[in-house]
Amino acid sequence: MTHPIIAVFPPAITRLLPELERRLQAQGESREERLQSWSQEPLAAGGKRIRPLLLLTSFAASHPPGTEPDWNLALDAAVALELVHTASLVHDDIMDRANERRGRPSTYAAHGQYAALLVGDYLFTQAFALAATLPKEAMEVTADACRRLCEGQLRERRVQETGSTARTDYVAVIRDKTAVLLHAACAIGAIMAAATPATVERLSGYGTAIGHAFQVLDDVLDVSGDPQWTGKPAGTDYVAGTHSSPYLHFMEQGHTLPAQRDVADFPKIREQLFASGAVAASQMEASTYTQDALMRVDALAPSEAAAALAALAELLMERAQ
Amino acid sequence: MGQVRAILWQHLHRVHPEAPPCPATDPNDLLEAADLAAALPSDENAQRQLGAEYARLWARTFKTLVRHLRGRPDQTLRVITSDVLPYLRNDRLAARADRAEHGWRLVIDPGLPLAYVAGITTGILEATGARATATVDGQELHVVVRLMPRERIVAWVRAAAQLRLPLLVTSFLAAAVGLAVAHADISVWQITAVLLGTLAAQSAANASHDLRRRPDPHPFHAQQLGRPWLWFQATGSYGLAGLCLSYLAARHPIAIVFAVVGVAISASYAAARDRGLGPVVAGITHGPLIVWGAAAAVGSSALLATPGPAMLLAVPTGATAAALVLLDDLSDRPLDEAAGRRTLVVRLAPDRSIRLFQTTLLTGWVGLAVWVAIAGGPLWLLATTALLALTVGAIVGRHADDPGRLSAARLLLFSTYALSATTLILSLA
Repeated sequence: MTHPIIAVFPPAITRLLPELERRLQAQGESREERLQSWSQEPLAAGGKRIRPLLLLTSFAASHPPGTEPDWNLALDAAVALELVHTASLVHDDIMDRANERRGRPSTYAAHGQYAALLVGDYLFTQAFALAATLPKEAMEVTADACRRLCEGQLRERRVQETGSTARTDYVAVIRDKTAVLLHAACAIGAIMAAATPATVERLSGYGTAIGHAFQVLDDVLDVSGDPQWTGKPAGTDYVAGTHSSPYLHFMEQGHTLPAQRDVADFPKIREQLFASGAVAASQMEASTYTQDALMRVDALAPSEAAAALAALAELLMERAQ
Repeated sequence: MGQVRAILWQHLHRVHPEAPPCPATDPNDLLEAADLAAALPSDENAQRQLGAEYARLWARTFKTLVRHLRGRPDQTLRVITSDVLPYLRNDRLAARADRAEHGWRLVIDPGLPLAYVAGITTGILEATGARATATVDGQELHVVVRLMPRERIVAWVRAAAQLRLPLLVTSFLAAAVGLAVAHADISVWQITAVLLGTLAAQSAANASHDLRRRPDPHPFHAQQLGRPWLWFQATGSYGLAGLCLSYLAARHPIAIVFAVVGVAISASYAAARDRGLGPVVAGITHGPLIVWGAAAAVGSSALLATPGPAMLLAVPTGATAAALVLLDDLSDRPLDEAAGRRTLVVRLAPDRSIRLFQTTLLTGWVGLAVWVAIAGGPLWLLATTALLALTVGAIVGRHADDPGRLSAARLLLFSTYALSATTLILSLA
């Protein structure tokens, strides 16, 4: 069965997915057999390919009506961005010492730190080799996204170390970690279609907005979602001491959280988060980002692709209702 | 004069490009309310239209919630005053809704033109299918809501469910099935004591449950009756149930066993529901407990000595009652989820909840069919029950996220229960 998120995208775009997968696997090829095998593993691990789909949909939404889009170069751009995403995940797993990724052993767990470093580097290199064939602006957006990924990673670490409860830190971490590649996907899609600066700005802003909404809703689901449904244990942010959206709203109302976090206390904290309206405030926060995304898409010329972008934003909000 | 979220200004600029651009880029940033007020159009009608248009944008991001607020103007207003306006103004006390004659009185924090807030309020109410007017009166809004016919039916069904009328009727019918087992040997007084006692026990259990439940601070939660009334209902109903039990137990002491089990189940219902066991408890109560209890209370213990028929007799009412609870929970899923209540439906993914509902419903009908095949009974009633059950299953399968259609399914399922009980009674007669 097609995933509801994939089902939102127009068939003209989802039918490109097999070709995208083929090109991705080709980018994992190497003269060194072991490197090829290690690199192709994370590329074959699947995922919904949201970033490539967003890039291709933004490309279609920005394309002048009445002309047949040239998907070939747009597909290369989508592959380059997905390579950046995959490389960043491989390096993330080293930093987080994560053993699992998309339900499989991470490269770090399966082959060790040495291999994971190499694979990440290799995929980044492949991404930029491909991006070098794209228009200069698309290359610049890709490079800027990588810069911000690094900055975001370091900022997140600083926030964790200092226990910062500043909302500006929370927003900046999301902007540079979760939202940055969605922003880049939409911007590159528009650039590849030679869209006007206003359209590029609208679409890149759309990507940023849904990235923020997605992360805030993820924070809400960490409090309210059922582990069986979300596939993640509840209260992980609480136990890890992460000041995610509901906890920030809770503290902004003058409430305090215990210094020592025990998973056994989570049901009581969860009740307080609901009773104080902190969870509802987080839902409103995500809604506000989604409203921003919808306003940007509504300003585009009507098309099946633009409608798909609006439907995606609305569908993401449904997750936490 | 307070603050506002930047999204309102961004929306203003989108609708009226001639208005000054929003000074913030992040839509959740906070700005001075007075600055936005100065940027808004000066005409009150334009302010109302702008507010209503913003409400439509808001509603696109809360589609499921908006669907579940259909026919619930009280709760919609509480969402507006407890969640929407406080968030937009970054002030928990930004708005308050009080009941007033012919509507509601909304006390609004100063800072934004009231016509604009009135537009947001009526816009959200209209997104839920109501027709609303909001008149500015000083620093207050007087809101009058008129429900459309479809929403009115939804509201009636919900009100009946809130007063637990279906539960009272289903208990009554289950007890009647139990009495039918011993139809020839019992007096009118015994029949009255069993039926009245069951009704009173169910009413007492409902009131005790509501009394024990902590008031839910979340506005998505349905309002409940006042505590004095609940105390009166609980004590009065337990008293009446006790009187009926005394009369029945004097002749058949086994009735006490069923009464004790019933009280224990009632006491543990809230905890069981929070663990996702609400439908199981409803099934046990309306199946074995009431059906066997009613039969035993009038001396038909012979039924309990033959496990096969006894079990079979409890399946149709028990499974259909469990399906009724599942359907209620399906209808309330987003609201329960938002309020942090972890019913079985909240715990399961939506498609699994639907399959569970349909399986439970099918179990009830198959139980009834097997009973009719063994004990005889009106086939036309069995066929009608099948038709109703199929319709309910199809509605829930296709429209589980549409509370309006689920209300229709509730009515049909209730009829399915009543027909199943009638079929059993006629087969025993």
